[in-house]
Amino acid sequence: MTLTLNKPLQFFVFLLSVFMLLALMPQQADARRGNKKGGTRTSVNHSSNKNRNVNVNSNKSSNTNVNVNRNKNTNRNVNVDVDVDRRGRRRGGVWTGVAVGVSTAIVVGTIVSTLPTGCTTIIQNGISYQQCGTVRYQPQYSGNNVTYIVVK
Amino acid sequence: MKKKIITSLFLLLGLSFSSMSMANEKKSSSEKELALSEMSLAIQALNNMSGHLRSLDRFSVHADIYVDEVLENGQKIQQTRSISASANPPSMLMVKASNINTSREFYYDGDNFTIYTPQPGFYATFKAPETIGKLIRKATDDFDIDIPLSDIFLWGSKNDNSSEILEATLIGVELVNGVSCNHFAFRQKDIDWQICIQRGELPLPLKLVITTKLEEAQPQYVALFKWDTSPILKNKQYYTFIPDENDHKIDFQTNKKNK
Repeated sequence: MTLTLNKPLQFFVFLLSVFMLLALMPQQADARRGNKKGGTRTSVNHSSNKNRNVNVNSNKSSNTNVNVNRNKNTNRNVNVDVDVDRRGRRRGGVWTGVAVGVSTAIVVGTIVSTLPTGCTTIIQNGISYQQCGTVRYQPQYSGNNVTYIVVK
Repeated sequence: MKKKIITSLFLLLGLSFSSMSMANEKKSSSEKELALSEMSLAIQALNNMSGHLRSLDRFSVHADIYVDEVLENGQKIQQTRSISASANPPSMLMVKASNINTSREFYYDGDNFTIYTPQPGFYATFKAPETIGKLIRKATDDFDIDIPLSDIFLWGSKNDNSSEILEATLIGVELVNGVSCNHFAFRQKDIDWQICIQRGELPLPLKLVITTKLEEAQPQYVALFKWDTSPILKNKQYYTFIPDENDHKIDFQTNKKNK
């Protein structure tokens, strides 16, 4: 049995799939770039004993998915999954998503390597912060790279 | 009579076998000697280069870096970076490292060390020890910071790891950027590495290749160096970081400081 669709619907389905492919592509490329193992030694005389695995996947259009997985030899293991639906509104101090099944929470102490768009720099008591909507990030050096930790 | 012939034949056979095996032993021991002398030759060349590096009172070096990153699917991606370093050993160093996306600057004036990211203008500073060698160690141990081209400052210092070399071979003469150099290959437990040392009066490293054996994909780091051993002498101010009005001071990630 074959599924028969009328022509306009077929065209619509085709357009939709092309659109979805295009919409997903940059994200996949980002993820691919993010999923690197690292670990190439760059010095003969000292090894920095690093085993860092940063996995960042961020979709800036409507949802922000941040997945930070940082493994260090010091046995510190931070693994935070954050899903934010920015269409969500703050109700009674809790972020609620419009979309069903999207868990929403911003955990203080979450570390990300990129910020969402539309942040502004604010300075308080000589310390520089990035204010992105209602979330405040503090930039810091994690090794040679700048990361952002959620402080508020 | 017949018996005697057979016994002597056996004896002859035995003799020839034993002499053959002796020749084999001799050959393998001479091979070992050759390998050992080759190793000592390579180590000597390396020490000679290290001594020369440590004798320089100032230099600047430019390096083109090609470094493999291994994706989760095991695919190797080679990335390109460019590094320029100026040094007045033992206590002044400035390094600029950049790729297409970002750049980093490292300033050390003998008192303080600053890491600076020009875009978006963040910097962090710590009180530094008195030599470049000690600085490299402190940066790694306490702050997780890798100062680029650290080998150039560690060879011939207290933190030289050449005692970990297990095998060393002379590969031959090569040309790097049009300059002829002696190509050596070394093996250590976790890495294999190669170096091409300029021939003649100035034994400087022209090329360094490090292969990481701990990773299944065996990613490589390749550095090609261009040297200037008599640059214009720069004053301390050149090595001191001075922020401009758009730069912001930030912290190092706290867990590192508490380590």
